[in-house]
Amino acid sequence: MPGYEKRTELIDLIYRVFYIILILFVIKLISIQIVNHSYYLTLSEKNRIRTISKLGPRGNIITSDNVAVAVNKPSYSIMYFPRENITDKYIDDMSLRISKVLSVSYDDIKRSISVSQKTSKPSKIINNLSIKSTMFFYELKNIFPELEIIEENARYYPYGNFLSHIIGYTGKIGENEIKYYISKNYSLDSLVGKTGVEKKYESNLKGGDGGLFMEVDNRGRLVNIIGFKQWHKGDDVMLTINYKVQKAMEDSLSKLPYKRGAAVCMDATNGKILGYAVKPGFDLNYFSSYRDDKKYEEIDEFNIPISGLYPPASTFKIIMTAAGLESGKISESTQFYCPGYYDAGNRVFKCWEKKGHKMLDLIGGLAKSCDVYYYNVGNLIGPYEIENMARKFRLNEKTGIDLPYEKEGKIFGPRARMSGKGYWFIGDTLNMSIGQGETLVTPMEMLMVMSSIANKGKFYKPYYVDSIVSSDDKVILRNEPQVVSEISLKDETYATLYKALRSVITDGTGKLADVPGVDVYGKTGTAQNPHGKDHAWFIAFAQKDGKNPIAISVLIEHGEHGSTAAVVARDAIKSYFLNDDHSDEIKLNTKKDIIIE
Amino acid sequence: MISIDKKRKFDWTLFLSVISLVLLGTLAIMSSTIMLDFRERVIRTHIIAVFIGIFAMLFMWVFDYNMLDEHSNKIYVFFLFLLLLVLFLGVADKGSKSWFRLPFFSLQPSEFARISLIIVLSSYLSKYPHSLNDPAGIIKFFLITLPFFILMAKQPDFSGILITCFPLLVICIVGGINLNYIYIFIFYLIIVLLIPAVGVIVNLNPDSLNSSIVYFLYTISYFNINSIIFILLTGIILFLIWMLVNKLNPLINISYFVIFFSIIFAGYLSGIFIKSQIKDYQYKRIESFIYPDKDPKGSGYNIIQARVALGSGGIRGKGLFSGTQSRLGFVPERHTDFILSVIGEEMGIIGVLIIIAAYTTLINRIKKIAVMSRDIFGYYMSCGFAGLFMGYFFINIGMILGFFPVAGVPLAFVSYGGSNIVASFIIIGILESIYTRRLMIA
Repeated sequence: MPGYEKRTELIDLIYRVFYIILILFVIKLISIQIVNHSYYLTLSEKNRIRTISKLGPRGNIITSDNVAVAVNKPSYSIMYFPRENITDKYIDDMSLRISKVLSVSYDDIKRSISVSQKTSKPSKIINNLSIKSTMFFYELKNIFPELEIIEENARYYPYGNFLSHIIGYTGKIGENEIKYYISKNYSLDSLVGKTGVEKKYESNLKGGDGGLFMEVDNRGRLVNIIGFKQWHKGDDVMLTINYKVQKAMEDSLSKLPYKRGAAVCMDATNGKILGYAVKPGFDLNYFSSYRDDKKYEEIDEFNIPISGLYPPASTFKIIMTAAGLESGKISESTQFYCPGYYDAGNRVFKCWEKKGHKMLDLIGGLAKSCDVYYYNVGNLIGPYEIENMARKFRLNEKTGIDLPYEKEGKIFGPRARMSGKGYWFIGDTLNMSIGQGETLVTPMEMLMVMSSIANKGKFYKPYYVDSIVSSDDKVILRNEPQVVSEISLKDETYATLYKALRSVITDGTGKLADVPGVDVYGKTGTAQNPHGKDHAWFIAFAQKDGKNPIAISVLIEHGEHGSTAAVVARDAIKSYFLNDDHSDEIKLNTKKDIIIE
Repeated sequence: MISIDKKRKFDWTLFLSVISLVLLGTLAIMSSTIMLDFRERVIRTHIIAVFIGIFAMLFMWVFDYNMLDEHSNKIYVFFLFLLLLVLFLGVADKGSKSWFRLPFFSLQPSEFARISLIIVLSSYLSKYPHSLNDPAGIIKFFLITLPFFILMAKQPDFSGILITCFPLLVICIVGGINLNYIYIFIFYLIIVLLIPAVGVIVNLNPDSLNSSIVYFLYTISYFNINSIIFILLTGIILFLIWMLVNKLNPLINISYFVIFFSIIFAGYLSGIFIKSQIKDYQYKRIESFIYPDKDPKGSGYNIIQARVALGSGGIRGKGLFSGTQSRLGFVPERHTDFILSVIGEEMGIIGVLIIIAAYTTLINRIKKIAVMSRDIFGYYMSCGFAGLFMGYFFINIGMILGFFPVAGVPLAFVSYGGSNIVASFIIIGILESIYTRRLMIA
């Protein structure tokens, strides 16, 4: 062949380029198919699998006397699963029967079914079916196997505004929580606890989600059903709260003409909270029906028993009495004369009774809550003894109850004052003696004082969750009583204190708290409030043979006088010790068969 | 002389690599069409096409390829005529009027016209071996291709044009073209692509208009007063540079600057023309290539799903007929352009590597045949065909791997497509013919 020769070095050049690109391709191929295999596999699974998820119902929240205070309200929907060879006549027939049996609109049903059939996508055709209708549904299911019923659960609080601060409420997952809950494998339409027990025990209350897994094609049409995962219910939380006590206290508070107040009742022998009433509470169902975050702010969620700080006022006289008796400087028979005022030299301190109480012994002094008597006691034993006793009663310590935003009280005494480089005057001692001045306590702390006197010295950590029980009746967690600290007072001190506190009820300021047949011991208090009417205090404990003694602390903001608070305590004591009271209002539901229409 | 055992009549390696591609491809086509209503028709057409292809291959093998040399002009003109005819009588599919609808099948004449183009160019070069050394020869060379490209652009079939560029480039290089011309061409291409590229950049990121260069290019990306100013300015600047250079070194010829200017001028005008011709969906393809996640449900969908299919296959794949991405229809065009992702999903990286190995063997074997060929015509033709298969390989696999924007280029022998399969078998037949006659005296 004449002419041109083959220049093979040129074709070699081209092939070299080809091999370089080939190597690049293989590297990229390995990176896609081997290195990132699991990533792409997840994506392809996501593509093909559609889940009709069924959220597992949340566990119930149940009081110690088996009243469910947070339950699930089932709602039912009917789904249509399209299959091949369905005629229009069949759809007509089906729609007609459904509309007759379940009394819903024929046109709507027919439209939903037709759309579902045409697109081959399973879809809900009826929402929020009533529980009665679900019974009729099973008749339909026999004729039309394409239909399936689906149960969904909404959170429901049967008593609405009841025990709100303890139970808490649920809501949709908020924007700032999404990451956290997704990492916990939550479905985004789950309800999650926002406050209280609902939040604290979210991981227990949450049910196990299940669902129907379907394989779909690129247009979302059902190809086949891969599997079904059974959901299960979450664990039940058993509270220590006694429904009767709680109800009695809330009713009693609501009858009072004052806007805010709180009452806490506790078993004095173990720290179990029996009642935790806060006025105004809030309707927990409000939150499950409204999703608007702004609405939340309108609600007064202030937790008075643990976050509210008030001067202890006359209730502090219990600590004064204990301090006096322990010091040995006064005894039951120590007498002081009350002319209605106390002359401290440069200043005159008044008794709340302007006429004066005349001559009083210790029992009378506490029963009548005589200020002058305690000015004398304070003067006699000195401020250090008082401050020490207040510390022993833990007025500057959190009680340790498992609730957020608990505050500790503040003891006003010479040591505290000195650390602030101030001076301590005799007037300060006198103010301190009657619980005014700068001493501040929470109702919860005063409850602990009463409970420690009732059980002679033990400070239990208050708790409100007794146990957590799984859906198959296994106890997952049980809280045991826990002694936080102990105070040792002489037996005579207790005897005298009991006598004095009892006389407050029998012939003193706390007469309204008297319950026949029950030994009630208590003390009223009226905390001076420069911003308005005085706050009313009543703290008490009560005992009766055969039952654990209970301690109660009541505070009514602007309640004017301690005796208003005593009424609340009385109702609580009655409901706890006397079974017949309020029993007509209480319908005891057994734990398992709560059905709400 | 040459010993008897080297006188093999048929290149089995070439043929077997083709057959393995076809077998894997057929399996993938059968699997990917499971959910399609027209599955049977697809499979039937495919198998018939393979048999027609093998028959055509045998025919071309028996046939002396030098006959093609003699009649190259007639063949080329005949297929150009068919390309012209398809513009009038053809049917449109996906916006391109590329098919003749015949009683039992559709025929895409451009697949065969491409072969005739390679034949006619090889024939031309073998007759005028040094023609690529001077500009006149090059211009003549490209004038031959011009009617083919015009008719293709009329359909319009841009991926068909794209794939034809590969054999042309290879033929030019092995034909001994002065590499400077290739550089000039690449420079020209960059200028041409710059103009539409600006449109893509601005579409993707409107903030880039704040950049003065982008803004300037954007204002001149369609013909207006600014473009005239631009051309004049370029001319003046180049002239000034020449004046300067001329002072320093008077030996440098002004013609360099004239050529430089003409390239910019021509590139710029072609760029404006191409930009006006580019359709929206083509812009979208390029955008989704650069940034597929911008519109994962829309223009980025195809490439993302194809990648997911490939990646989810792993090493051994999900098993034949069990690929969910392909079977359930998430991968588009799964039996044609995206067939490789089906293989990757169901047969894993092993399947893909078999395809790549078979293709490499095929392309390698063509080089051997080219070197062995008894004449320069066979050499050029083989090189052209090698370039064509490289083109399929680069563009189709590169597209799935993400090296290249989505282009409607099939993977020859593997993808479904009757005309493409028959045409590819014809090429193998010609190559076998060259192989068989390597020792004969022409």
